[in-house]
Amino acid sequence: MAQDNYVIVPYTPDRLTDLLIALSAIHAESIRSKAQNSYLHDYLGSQDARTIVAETEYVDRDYLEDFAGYYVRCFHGYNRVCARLHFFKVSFTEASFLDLLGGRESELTVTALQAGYLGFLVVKRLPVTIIGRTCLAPYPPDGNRRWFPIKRPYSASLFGLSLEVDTLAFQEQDTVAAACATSALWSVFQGTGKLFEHHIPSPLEITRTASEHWMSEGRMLPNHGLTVDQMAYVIRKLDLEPVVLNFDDLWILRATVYAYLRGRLPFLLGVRLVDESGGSAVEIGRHAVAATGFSIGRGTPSPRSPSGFLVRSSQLDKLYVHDDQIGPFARMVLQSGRLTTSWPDESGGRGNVYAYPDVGLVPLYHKIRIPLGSVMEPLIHFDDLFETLRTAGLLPVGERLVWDVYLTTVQDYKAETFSVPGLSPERRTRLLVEPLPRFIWRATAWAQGSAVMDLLFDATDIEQARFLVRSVVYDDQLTGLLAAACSIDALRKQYGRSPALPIIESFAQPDKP
Amino acid sequence: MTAAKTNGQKVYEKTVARIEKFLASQAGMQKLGQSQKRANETAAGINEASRVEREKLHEPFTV
Repeated sequence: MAQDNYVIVPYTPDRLTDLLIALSAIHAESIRSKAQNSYLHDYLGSQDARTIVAETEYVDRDYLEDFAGYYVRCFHGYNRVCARLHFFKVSFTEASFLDLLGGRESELTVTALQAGYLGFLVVKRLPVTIIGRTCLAPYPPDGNRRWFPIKRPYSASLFGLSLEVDTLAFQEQDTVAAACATSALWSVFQGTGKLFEHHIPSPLEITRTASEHWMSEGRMLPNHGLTVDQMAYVIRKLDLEPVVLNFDDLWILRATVYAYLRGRLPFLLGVRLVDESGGSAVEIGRHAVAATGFSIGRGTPSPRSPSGFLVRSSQLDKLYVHDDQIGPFARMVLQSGRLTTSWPDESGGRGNVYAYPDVGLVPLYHKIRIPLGSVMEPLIHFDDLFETLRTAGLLPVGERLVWDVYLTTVQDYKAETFSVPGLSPERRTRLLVEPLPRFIWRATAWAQGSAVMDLLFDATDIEQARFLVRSVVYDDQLTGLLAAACSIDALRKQYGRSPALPIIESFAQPDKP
Repeated sequence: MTAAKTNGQKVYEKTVARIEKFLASQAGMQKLGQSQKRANETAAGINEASRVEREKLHEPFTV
């Protein structure tokens, strides 16, 4: 009897595919042609998956909402119960698992299962779109190269065993309650819901809210896509503020990805997919994904013309996205003006479908009022001034500054300051006890592998205000020289109307908030 | 130790004097003017490139 409720098999790509077929209503031919199926093979292979435990009956809240809102009224009797597959990077047999459950002596331990847990995947008993809520551990960081800042713990109770995985949930669009934009928004809300403590709507709730005021030419259900306006409306209904950005320029895309993802804010990336197989370019359509991670390449930062402003974000060489048509943390390599994808081309081949970045939609907590562009402007002006003085041999810094610009919180900033080496006890204490706003834009300047200075901007202020809240220079001699330069009347007069003036004034009075 | 500190102090004071001289000179001011022009163009280019065309807001994401 118990065996009806679970299946335990060693992980192999074929076993996974067989389980997906057995536990859903999909045809064998359909699953083999699904991009998600081959992506999961690669992904779980790279994570060294060894064992799958399938719960053959599992009730999933998100699917239940979609089921109640649509599938239950169909003439065909769709199943409201799902299955759930758990993946482990430890090998064990059914006998040892049953010994553990039964409280008998077992070679398997709860600790080994918890340590080797890679996450789970909900299988919906539908004919085509079968991948439900999926929580799989992201790729390992590979030193400091891969970044997946937006992770939260997802717990799973497997027959009484408490398991947990740190990740961001993913699911495939079902093309009924959810299109690609809905699935991408759902994943984004998994991150913002935890960060800003808002309700996380199901795919059906997202689609319904988006359709309250905008009915595109099609029906609400089945849903065939959302516009930026509709998505922005859904974001506002959660008391967040949508920021829409143009992403034709990859420098801006990189800067935005880095700045917000490091602040643990996932966002929606809209692209145009183009099939370039066979020597021609055929547009597939507009597609939305959730940006969830990035990789920093080993190259040098690219200067932004004409000032030559350098930012660390320009070293980003890959994005990781939740692409509902591919899988969680799908890799997109940044090339000249475009991104690679794992989408199959017309003949089923890979590597020929490219994504051309179009727009970005960042859901911000309503108190985060200062956009990234408003921080970049004073920085660019100050950086060029600094570089002019440096190249004149007046500032003792060996190379041009590289700026690391990202959103952070007062808690994270102070936790990092607590462990900064080389600060005098007095200075460290002053930095830690000084009150700061909850959300901060942090711009750290680096040269020759060391942090030269930090500029902190109040992300909750208004743009007309002088929202620089603190400047910290880590070298005493440079602190003095900047104070001397920034106190000279001729310089202050020249920069009297410059966006860099608040920074100049701050350096003129070092360590004064 | 004291001598090194004195040397450091001397270098510092000398640099401050050079900064004052640079900022008092016409060439220095000219360089700062060019710097501001470059910075303005760079920031304006980023602002311009970030602006979203209205049509992009109304076209659905469908695939």
